[in-house]
Amino acid sequence: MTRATPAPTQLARDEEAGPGESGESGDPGERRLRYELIRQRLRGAIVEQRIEPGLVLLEGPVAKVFGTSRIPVRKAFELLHAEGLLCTFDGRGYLVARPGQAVQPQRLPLDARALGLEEGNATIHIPSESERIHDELEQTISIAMIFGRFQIDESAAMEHFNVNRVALREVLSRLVDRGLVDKSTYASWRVAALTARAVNQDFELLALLAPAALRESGPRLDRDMLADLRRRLHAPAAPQAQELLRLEQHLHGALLARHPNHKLVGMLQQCQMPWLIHSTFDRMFPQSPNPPLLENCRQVIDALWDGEYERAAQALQDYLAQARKRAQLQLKVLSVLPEAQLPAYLVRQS
Amino acid sequence: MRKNMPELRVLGTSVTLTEAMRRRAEQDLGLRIRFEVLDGFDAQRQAVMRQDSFDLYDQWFHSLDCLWPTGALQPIDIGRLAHWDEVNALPKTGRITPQAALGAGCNPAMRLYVQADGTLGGTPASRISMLPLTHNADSFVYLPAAVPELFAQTEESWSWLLSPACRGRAALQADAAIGALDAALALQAGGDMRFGDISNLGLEEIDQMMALLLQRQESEQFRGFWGNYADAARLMIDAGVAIQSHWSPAIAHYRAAGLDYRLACPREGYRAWYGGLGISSQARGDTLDAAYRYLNWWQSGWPGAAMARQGYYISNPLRSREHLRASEWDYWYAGLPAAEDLRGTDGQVVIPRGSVRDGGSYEQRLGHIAVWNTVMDEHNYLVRQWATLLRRARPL
Repeated sequence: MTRATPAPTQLARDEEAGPGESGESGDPGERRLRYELIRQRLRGAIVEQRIEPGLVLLEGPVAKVFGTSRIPVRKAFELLHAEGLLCTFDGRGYLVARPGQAVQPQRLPLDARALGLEEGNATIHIPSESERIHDELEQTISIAMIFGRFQIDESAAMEHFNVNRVALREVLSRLVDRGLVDKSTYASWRVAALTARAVNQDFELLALLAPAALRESGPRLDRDMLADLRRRLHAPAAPQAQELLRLEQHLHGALLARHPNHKLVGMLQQCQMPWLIHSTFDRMFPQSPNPPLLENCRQVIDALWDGEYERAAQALQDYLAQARKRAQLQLKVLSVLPEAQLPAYLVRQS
Repeated sequence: MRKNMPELRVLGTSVTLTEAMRRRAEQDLGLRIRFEVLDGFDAQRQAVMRQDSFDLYDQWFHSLDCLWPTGALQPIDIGRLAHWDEVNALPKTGRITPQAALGAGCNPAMRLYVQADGTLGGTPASRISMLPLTHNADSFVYLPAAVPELFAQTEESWSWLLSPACRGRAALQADAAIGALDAALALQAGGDMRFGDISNLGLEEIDQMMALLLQRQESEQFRGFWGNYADAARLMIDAGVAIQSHWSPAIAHYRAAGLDYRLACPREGYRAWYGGLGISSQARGDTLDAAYRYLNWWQSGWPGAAMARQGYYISNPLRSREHLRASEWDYWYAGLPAAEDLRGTDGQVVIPRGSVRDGGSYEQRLGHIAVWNTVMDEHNYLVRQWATLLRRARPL
């Protein structure tokens, strides 16, 4: 997934719009869309008097109604206040009132009806909401996998991310496709535990499918991409850890993705354990020595460049055999990591 | 301002890092030496995550599985080791004598030599991962008078640790690579479980073992889990523990408290471990030279004798024999009855005259190994599951 880089003038306007907002993702256009939508809906409801004058508006409950985080709600409140539709008062939140209007603050439950909105139709669906959940959920689960077996509590996750069940399940399904989450028909969602067995099983599948996939995918690869990979792998200075990680990631992803059999590609994408161990290990212990696999990577890329796909497949087979040994060693080291504080929607199974 | 005397920082556990050792090393070597003493798991974690915090790592061979891949230690050049040729067959081949059975699990030989590709293995090479030093065959310690109906039997067994007769009076070592093995040996000995390879537990075996242990915990079998020998001693002296995992230095405390204790020679065999010294990958120049001097000092005779008085063997025993009285050598190594009262490193009597070491001689004990302390394939999973047991444990 790529995000478009906003044009310079747009960036300047965004900077005017507000300070860097932690937790508020999506490109600047989408961020503006959210608070703008909230502003418009509340404005309409206030102007058409569908909201009780004096109603106290609070960020949290209003965010819940709209299905967003508090940040766009806060922005909408500020704009409505600037327009004179909301007032501050001697208490928390904003009053629905014009400046100087005499009203009693009404602290009522804030649901869709109180905000003059249609029941069941209030939630703002913006496609990148699920992207935001996806990234955070994926990262949290990648970490949790190290620490044992966990169930995912749907209700608690919905609460945590402030999304509805449909959006959550959509993201969880995508994580099932990536091998991070398990789901059998009637059982709950479970984090796929990072075990030596699970890693070995992924390598078993990779050994069977990846070289075969590379034979077919190789001829379809973009020459420019290959040229760039070659250049980086043969640079005089050995690649830095981050760089090496990105290069290796290609062997697990991009190089295999051009295979015409999408089911096959899907199965390969489910075999993420090897990659997860390596990238977690690399992140935690960046100073670890790692020369042998660099040579394996070079051999794969060189063979692809030379158009010798059988040789490339064999080189990938060799890489996988080495990577398997490495993964077993790395997994043991991960046992020293202190248990991370995990969110409430991950429930330890014992 | 340049320091004239380099300071060596040694990271390790209470197994070997005693004040007596530190002072003698400073005296003999003319160096300043600082010990950082942590429980095994914590020492391992610190070595991995703060690699600039130590010059020497004094720990078990099995912890190399968690350390070596991170590049925390540098290979040791055998050519700089003054007494390498005196190191006996046990760490080099995994057996004390050619006829001895190979214990299951991580015998140190498999992690001793640095191979051409930088990984560790048993094929001899010119560089090693750690200098093999102290080692022992551990079992459990118990108070015969506390549970006579069980403990009066002639054959001692690991199963006693989980016997209902010991409810509320049993304790285990807290490290998953050690205490969990004691528990596994106990479950197997008692017929509650049968493992495929006790030194390399599978996922279902771990789940089943943990379920059984949690059940036992519910019925209050365990008084506690300890990480150092001082806590171990306290549990037995003050907290009513009658049977527990054993670390040798605790016997001085038991003796001082007047406890009538016994070390078991279980019919199922011992749980063995091998310790050594590794050098930080960041040690250079004067520090590196000092590190090698410290390594060689450990094999120079006196340290091995001091360790013997704590119940540990050393990798080149004959040199330490010169620093032991005949009666000490006969008891600690030859398995003969103590011809006189024997004193520990603190000068107090630790072995009364007439005692015989459990299991007999060095060769007998190290030839009766059921399993080595091991970091298994599913070690990470075991550690996380084991943590549940520890979280629910009674405070020490």
